[in-house]
Amino acid sequence: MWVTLGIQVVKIVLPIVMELISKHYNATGALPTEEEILNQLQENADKAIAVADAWLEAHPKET
Amino acid sequence: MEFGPMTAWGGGAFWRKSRTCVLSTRVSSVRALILLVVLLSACASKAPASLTPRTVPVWQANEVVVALTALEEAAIGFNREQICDEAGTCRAMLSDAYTRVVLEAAKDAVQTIRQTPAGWAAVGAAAIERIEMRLGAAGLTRLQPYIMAVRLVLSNLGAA
Repeated sequence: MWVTLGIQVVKIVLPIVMELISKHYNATGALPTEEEILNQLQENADKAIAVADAWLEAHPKET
Repeated sequence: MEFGPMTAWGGGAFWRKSRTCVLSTRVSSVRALILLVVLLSACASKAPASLTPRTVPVWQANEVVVALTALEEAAIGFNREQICDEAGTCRAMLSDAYTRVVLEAAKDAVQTIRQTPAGWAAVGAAAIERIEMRLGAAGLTRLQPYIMAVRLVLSNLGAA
């Protein structure tokens, strides 16, 4: 039972935890700075708006 | 092997009946991946230790923006895919009108969050409520997992 549990932890839980941890670090392995977080918000907001605009422009509202 | 995107969420009974409606595994995998990313994001509710109390709301706002983007992309994906009945009549899985509801609400929310990141909780919740109110039953059925994921993100980040 413990072997099975261990395999599950290594194969399933560990990758998820590593993913969550890596989200908190930038490309150099350092914790993100305030400036990086601010830039990230601007970039992601720009992307979200661009995605919506592209579709809305391609599908104009019928009057 | 081919199956519709809704089978991943357990809602593919109608889909399986229709022989003419076939999507690639790739499409459903991408959607499942988007949902997984959002759910993983929801689990990561603690801001990095390097951030000051002033910047934590910006980080939280960014998480909400990412979740709203996933919702936008899901709506566009469902709008792009056609569902056909046995008579051969096809229509979008999510209508243009419902897709517009999602995109306009999400875009407005993101624009507001970008200007005032500290308001992410209220703005994000208001956007989801607006979408839920204006989507019909068909639209809600399609997008429910994604809407739930955004709500989960908001909740785990500490929104009331």
